[in-house]
Amino acid sequence: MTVTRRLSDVAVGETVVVRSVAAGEGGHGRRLEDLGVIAGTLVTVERRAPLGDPTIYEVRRSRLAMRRADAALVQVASPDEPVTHFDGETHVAL
Amino acid sequence: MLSPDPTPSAEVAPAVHAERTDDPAVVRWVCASPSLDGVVDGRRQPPWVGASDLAAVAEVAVVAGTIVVRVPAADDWQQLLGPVHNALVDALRTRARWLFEPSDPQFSDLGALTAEAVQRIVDTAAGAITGAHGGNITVVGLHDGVVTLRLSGACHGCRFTDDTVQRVVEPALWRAHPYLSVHVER
Amino acid sequence: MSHCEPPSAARSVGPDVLHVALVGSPNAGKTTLFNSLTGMHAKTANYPGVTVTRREAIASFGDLEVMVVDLPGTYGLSAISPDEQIVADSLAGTIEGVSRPDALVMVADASTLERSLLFVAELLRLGLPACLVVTMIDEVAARGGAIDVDRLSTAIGIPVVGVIGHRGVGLDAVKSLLSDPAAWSRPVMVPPAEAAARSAWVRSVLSVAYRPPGADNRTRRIDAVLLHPVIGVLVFSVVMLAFFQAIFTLAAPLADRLDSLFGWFAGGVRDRVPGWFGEMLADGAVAGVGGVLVFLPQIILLFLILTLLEKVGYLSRAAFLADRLMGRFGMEGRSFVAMLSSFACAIPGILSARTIPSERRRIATMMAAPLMTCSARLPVFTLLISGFVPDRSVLGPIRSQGLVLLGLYVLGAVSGLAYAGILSVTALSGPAAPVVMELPPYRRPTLMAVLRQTWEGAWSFVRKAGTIILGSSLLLWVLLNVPSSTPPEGLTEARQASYQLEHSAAGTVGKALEPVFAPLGFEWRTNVALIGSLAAREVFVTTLALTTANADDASLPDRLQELRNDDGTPVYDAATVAALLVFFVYALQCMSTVAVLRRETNSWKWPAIAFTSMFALAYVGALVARLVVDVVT
Repeated sequence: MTVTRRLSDVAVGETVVVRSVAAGEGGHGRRLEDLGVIAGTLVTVERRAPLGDPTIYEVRRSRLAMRRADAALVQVASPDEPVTHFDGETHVAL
Repeated sequence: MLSPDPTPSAEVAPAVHAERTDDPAVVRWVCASPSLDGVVDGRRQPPWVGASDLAAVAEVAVVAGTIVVRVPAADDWQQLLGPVHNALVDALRTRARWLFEPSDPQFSDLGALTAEAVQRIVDTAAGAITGAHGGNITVVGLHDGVVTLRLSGACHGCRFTDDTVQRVVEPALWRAHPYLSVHVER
Repeated sequence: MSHCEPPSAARSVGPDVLHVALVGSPNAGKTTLFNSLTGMHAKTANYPGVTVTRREAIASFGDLEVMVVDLPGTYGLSAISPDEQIVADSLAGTIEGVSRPDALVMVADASTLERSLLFVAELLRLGLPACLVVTMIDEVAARGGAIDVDRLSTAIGIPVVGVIGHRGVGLDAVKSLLSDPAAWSRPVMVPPAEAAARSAWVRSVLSVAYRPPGADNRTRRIDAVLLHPVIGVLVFSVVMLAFFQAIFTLAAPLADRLDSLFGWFAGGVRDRVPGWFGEMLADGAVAGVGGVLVFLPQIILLFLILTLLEKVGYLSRAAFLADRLMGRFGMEGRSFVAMLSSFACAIPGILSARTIPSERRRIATMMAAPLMTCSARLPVFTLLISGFVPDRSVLGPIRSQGLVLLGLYVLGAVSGLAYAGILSVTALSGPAAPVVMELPPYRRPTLMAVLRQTWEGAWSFVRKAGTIILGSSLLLWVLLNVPSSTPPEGLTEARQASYQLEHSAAGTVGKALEPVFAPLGFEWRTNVALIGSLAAREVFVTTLALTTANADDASLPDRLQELRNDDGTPVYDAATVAALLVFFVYALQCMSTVAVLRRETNSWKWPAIAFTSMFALAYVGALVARLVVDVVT
């Protein structure tokens, strides 16, 4: 069972997978999706600003600074355990 | 030069796109996921044979890891493009056996494959997850390339199990034995 | 799920020129491409009804004459700012007087293809003939990535060209494409609309044509320092202080030289052109233009530094660091740059607020900008402080005059922040757009690009400020010289000028305003000078010089000190000076600022609110200052 949490609650350094993006007020959610934050995308929390907000996220090989209120619209979960392929390669599960 | 899955992601739906070929009556579908690695070239009978709106499709074949579809005349694509695409995506979602022919070399070990071997793959792939939530996925049958899974414990009735089966178990099985298809006992 | 589009030929406009639009995300290299394709022929215009600028140029490619339009950068067609709305409207063909583009050149940065192709997918659904230009392919190659342009072209179904913008690599291929958009291949199927499906399409397309680059280590290493919670903030403070300092110290000598140059020129005009016309030209027009151009060194330096910081990539880091503080006052990180620029002049500050997508925060930023102590206030402050604040040592090297000046700056800055904060919970309250800023990789900008953008900024300032200031200077001259009066016999020339001023239209108004400003301690001379400051704040000083002209050749501060009311009390006592200083901190006299506010907000509402509220603040502030000084001294 996958438990989802808000992207704004994810600690620095963690990589999570997006499960859903809420619509938010004024088209927030849509803007996040335009920027590549889509269900199934991997997001890494890179660093926070000195005063705690905003936070820099690595999304699709680009870096986005996002405020907490907007990151809270994104529900994420930990990516599944890596699956060890029989020839020794490790993949992140599809 | 190119890795099979350059963009790390955790998407579940098939990732495909359609391309033109030199022949205007032929359109190719490239499939990033599920990967068509190990699928041998040759004609195929997709499961939609018999669907009335797709009856006009002349030929479906696998060529170099892509699915190639031919229609009688280029103009036919006007009607057929959408329906063929949707049907293909559905068919790929289950990575069904239609992609393989019994004569395909991958089937050579079909007879030798045991349910225990399959169970090992399932456990390696999903054991950590199911164990952590107090459930179990058991291989209860292996016949003619179809694996039957039974869900027990917390997995039974859990709405996220389908997710785990689709995203973890099936890909793990296919990497080892591409021709297997998975059936979950209800 | 998705719809298919039957292949069809591009529609080219008969005898008319073909209209091709460049579209892509910000930082993708669109403008560089536009400049390379069109040379120096671009003209800038405004879209009807909004302040978004439109860059377009007509160029020939092969036998075809094409109008190339550089659309504003955007991440998607669901707009969150006027800039982006323009793109959406342009592509839908719903802008009055502007035709829908006949073909699209989509521009994407090679290192962000995984995201950029999402936008490409959205654009392809429009059904317009399209091609893709992938920029900065050298960066991707340098980091171990690879793009098979031909394979990508087959995968997407449209022509794709890889370019290296600053080296012109690939440019010929783009030009060749533009010579015949009708021949561009079309996708067999348009990509899906839904976000997850679109993402899957992108993944599939990239799987056959793209090897992602490794990490950008240079950017990573630099950001480890520049975004460090301690070092980064330190660097940020140093950079901003240096910016501030450079504008004042570096530009000052040049400004002084320009000032004397214009004074000389005005004198020459007055000598050569006879009568009142000559005087109007000299004291009105030349003085007015001079007043604007004297700021030009500062403005050019301002834009140069800002352009450099932006193109290198530092501005987005600065915005990231400043966002929390700015957010507390209803603004955002990008507002910081606007505020900082406003210390030179509010006009470039207000213009730079265009980069803020959220309308509420943009307006808050623009409204607060005039409260930042602009350099036009400096002559006024300098005059009053040097004339009336005793030069004492307060703490070692820190002297009282400098302290007062600093205090005025701080008062302005803090008030500006508070003003924006109050606006954002009253008139501007409500939900605001998300704050999402992209942090591009650090790049070395090309000299041409920097110079070009600096020039465009400086020129926009001259155009916007220049016209208003010139107009108001001429108007002011008229007010100060009409109706002309004959001074009584026996007065010195200086006294005559003063008399004439007193009986001019401006003088009459100044006297009429005395009851209004009497509580602040202002009399008609000050009032007339205040009227003058409506043209430009520093005109206050020159007007005051005119109204206080007398026999001696004494300096203006001395003359002010000697000025007496009818009852013998000094006109300029400590309280009045304090009131005047505070009045200038707050009052929005600058008509060009008001004009720019109107243009940028597209209504009279906001400039009206700014003008009246800041006048009220100025009045009350001046009163409070008077009282405080009266009590203290």
